[in-house]
Amino acid sequence: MHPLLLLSLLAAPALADERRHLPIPPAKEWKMECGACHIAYPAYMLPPESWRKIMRNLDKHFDSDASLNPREVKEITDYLVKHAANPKYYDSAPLRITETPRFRHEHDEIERAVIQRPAIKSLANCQACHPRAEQESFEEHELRIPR
Amino acid sequence: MSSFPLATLVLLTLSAPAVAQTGITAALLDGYRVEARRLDPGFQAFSAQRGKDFFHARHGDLSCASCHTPDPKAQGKHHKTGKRIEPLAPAANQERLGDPAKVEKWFKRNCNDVLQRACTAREKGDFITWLADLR
Repeated sequence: MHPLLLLSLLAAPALADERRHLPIPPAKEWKMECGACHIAYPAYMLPPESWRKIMRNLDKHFDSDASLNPREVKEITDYLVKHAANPKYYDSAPLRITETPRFRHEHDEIERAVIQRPAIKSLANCQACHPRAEQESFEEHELRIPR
Repeated sequence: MSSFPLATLVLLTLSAPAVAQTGITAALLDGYRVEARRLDPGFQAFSAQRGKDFFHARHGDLSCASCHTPDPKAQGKHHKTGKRIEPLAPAANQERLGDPAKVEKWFKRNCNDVLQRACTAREKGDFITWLADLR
């Protein structure tokens, strides 16, 4: 076989393998894993103990199996805890961002009928009204509440 | 280079990722086949038709198609959160079936969510046989 041909055949699987084994930066891994089923909710929206509780129970994550391998659990937990909200503003460790005082304060004027609109459905559906939620931007002037 | 036409080499180089991808799928299926035989010595071969039926079968309120739509080449949508899901079939999304650990991760999660149990090796093999060959 021609040596160049041999090289081209050998190189492709080797490259694919190498790519998989490169360590993924924690912020990227968080976004990829947490963002697979919903937007990757920003770490600063919950205190550290909330994230620890959530990450300990991923196999029963709000009625879904969201389990990760132990390495992923550790890296994503470390990332979330590092960037979490300051626990001094919390007297409990809520599992839902919608139950935090900050979230309630910001959303208390929204009527139930608005939340129930088909394009919104749930307060957990951030991107319905915050078009740049996936970029972690929740500025008031960006708000677009669907009819 | 003189003994080997350049065009052929370029063609082979371009097709190498596709070869690697197919190799990954074949290796996945080999693993499921060994397990399926271990559980059922009478096991013959995976079936694309059974895989297709499995994809559409409802278990209570849910089927695979609840999130992935009835067409695995189409963009899906998470049934609860509404989050966009990229197409499931490699024919429409070349990232699919490229990483065995990822395939197993999602089988574990989604089988538990939809069937309330782990999928068997035969179910996984049937399904991948169907999905990988969709055009």
